[in-house]
Amino acid sequence: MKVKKIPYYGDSRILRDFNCEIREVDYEPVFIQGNEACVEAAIIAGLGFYGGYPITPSSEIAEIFSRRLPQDGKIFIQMEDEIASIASCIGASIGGLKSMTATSGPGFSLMQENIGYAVMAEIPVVVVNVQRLGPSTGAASSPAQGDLMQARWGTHGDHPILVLAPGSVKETFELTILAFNFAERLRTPVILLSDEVIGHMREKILIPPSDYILLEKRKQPFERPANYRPYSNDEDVPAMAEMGLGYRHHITGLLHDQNGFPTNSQDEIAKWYDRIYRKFDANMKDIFMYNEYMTEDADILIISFGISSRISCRAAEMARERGIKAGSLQLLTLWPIDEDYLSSVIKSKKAVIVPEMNRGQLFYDIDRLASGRVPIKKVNRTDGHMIDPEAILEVME
Amino acid sequence: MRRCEIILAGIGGQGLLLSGLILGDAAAISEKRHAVQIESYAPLARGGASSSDIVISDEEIRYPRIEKADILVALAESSYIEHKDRVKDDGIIIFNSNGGEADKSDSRVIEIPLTDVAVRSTKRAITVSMAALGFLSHFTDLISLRAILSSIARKAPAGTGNINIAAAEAGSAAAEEFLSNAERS
Repeated sequence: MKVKKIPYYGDSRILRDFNCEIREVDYEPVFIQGNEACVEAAIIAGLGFYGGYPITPSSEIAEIFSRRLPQDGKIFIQMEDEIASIASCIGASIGGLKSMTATSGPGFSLMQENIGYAVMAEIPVVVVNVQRLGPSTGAASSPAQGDLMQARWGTHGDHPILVLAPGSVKETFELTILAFNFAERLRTPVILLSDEVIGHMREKILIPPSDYILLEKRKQPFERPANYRPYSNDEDVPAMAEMGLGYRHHITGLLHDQNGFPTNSQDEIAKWYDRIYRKFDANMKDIFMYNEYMTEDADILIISFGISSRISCRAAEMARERGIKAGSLQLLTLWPIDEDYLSSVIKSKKAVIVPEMNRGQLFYDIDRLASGRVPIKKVNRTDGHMIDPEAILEVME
Repeated sequence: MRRCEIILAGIGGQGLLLSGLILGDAAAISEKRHAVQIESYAPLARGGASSSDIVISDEEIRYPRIEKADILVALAESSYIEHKDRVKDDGIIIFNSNGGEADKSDSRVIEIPLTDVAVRSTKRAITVSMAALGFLSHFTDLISLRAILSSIARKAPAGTGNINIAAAEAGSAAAEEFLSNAERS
């Protein structure tokens, strides 16, 4: 399978196809934090509703939205907690607005049940988790990458979900736009997994004019309201009618039939499961994204995500200065992963190193895909600091 | 210009976080280069260690952290002690002599009473970090004063633009004086 990656500005996949050349002079250069880039992107993506409860290190997102959204006639609500925050976003999305919430570990834990509701009812919503250290209250202003498995499996029951992980301010901007596009296209919650470093780090990015950016919107029904089935199995992603336009739309967290009403029918349930997985599989070439750095001739591949990928690139450079052919593969999409692609890449290398700011979570998948044919080494750090490139070099030797 | 790594360090309440933002913005936007800034601070509004790591380069910055700093601006003795080992042997340490004492045998240290410079021009000690940026702009070829002033005008909180500009200009004048004294002696 051929897999795309995000190219640099100029022909990025967040941009519409133009017949004319895109001029750099049209872009606005800004020096901003990852959290600010997330806000700018969400506004360009057409965000209509933000419901949240501020928590470090995500608070800037709520703070800036609280000023910006009312100026545009959009809605900002500070809810009583994170359970209500995501519930309000699900409601706003059902009402036809693109909606988003942002939080960190403790709040992300509270959101899990309703993330499952959004999966079950197939409601587009974007959930940003700016990761901090530790279970429970942990350490508010220390970075970590410990919520990877939670982003995938935090809500109960077997389910597909989309998890995107930026490693820079620029990628935060791009992946936030894509998070909204994929949420709308696939009718699914999308998790944007950032961390304290990226959220608070400032970098220069170039913001394209908003009319350059390709935006997707959920499919609307074309049939008459009487014939509308909100969970039709005729297509991978059924049309989602806005509430209030005359289309009957029963929404429940129970397993449901194609009309949205609760069902115990084995046949209906099996078909529903098949379809919600199929919609991800069918879009794999678009949704599985990564960045490569000096990977082509590399003997040793460093696979990582988020801020750790910036360290991996430096470690690869330092290794090459010592005559070791190393390269970095940064996963921008953490779930689902294109297993065929990843497993063939892993098996083409002599060794793979997985550095992450947790005790080994991405490691599980990489190790599984290596099928014992390639040695996989871990580099882990959980003291609230970034991994040092030297620590990655050490395991190479 | 090759990659340059700068640490701005002091104590909460010395305007460190704003000055980190101003320096990064001045390089990235006013001078159209690339910059990354990572800040760290204690969970206190006053007191507690506060610092900003800034990398400036003409090229895109892949690795955002400081390996060995070219420049340390230390506004307090505790910041000097905390960060001095992160600075290159041939690096520069601009030390605020109103904030305590630096190691006399450390040849990298340039001592300047930056708090006095700031207070003389604005009557507010919090502008000391802007005076430091002004000093830096004249003392090194890292950044122009013009770029610093234009970033202050864009980014300083409403109502603080004038005093921050005055402090930066005073810092630049202090560097000029320092350099001409050094030539004479």
